[in-house]
Amino acid sequence: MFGTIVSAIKIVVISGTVLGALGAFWYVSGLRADLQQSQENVRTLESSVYEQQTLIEQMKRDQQLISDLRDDLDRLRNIQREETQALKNRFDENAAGDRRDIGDLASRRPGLVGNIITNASNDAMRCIEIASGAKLTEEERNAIRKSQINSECSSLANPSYSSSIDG
Amino acid sequence: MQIPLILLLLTASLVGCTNVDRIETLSTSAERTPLNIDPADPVDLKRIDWIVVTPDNVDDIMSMLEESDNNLVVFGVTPSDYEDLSLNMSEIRNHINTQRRILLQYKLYYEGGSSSSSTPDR
Repeated sequence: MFGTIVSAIKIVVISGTVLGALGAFWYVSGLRADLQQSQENVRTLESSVYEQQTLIEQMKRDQQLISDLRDDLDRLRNIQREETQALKNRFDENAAGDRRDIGDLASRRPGLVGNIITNASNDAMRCIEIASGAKLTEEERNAIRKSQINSECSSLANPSYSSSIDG
Repeated sequence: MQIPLILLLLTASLVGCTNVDRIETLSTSAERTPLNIDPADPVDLKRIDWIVVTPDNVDDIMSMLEESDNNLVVFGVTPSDYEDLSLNMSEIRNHINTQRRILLQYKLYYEGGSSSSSTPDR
């Protein structure tokens, strides 16, 4: 009877020890697996943060490009408005600022006015060609004097010309 | 002896399990194929000659037309209509130029390239 009790106690003690050892092993293994997964998660998050930062940088570059392109378009529109206004003014006043009546001038000097408006008309058509994508000629590209430029659209046809050079 | 063995197997089956959820991210990158349509050919416009007709030179003009085998007819505009025609041409030119610039800017933005390509004319 006593021997049986001792045997039972031994079994319980051994089982408890084995279970304890296995439990400890299981617990440590679980911790290591958790740690490994956590490290992997950290790497994933770091990678994700890097991607987000790259994306933010790209968005900033896009915003800057959009802003630049809008500015470019605004400049173009302003130049075009100025040129259209200059054309209107050209019909109403001469270079000296005096009032001009093109009809009156044409009735007095039809040949001269005919030549002037023919040249202006051909310049205007050249402007449309350039606006539609035609390449500039060397002459147009290098024009720097008022006498050399296309007076209908110097901003388009004569990139080297600045009105400040010879007024 | 069987009980420890069963416990050992049960415990071993749990080894390696983790309570931390795995984080998964999904990145997809699908760039569109550039359209790459060739730009429209520039227009090539015919030059025209304007003739100013007045009561004083109308006979000379008709003679000139007769000598050059043209019909004796002149299509005319009044001075104010000529001004309007010029302004209309200017508006059309500006519109074409602006549209072309916008098109180039879209191409630059979506397909990349040097910024100078967006401003071909000045």
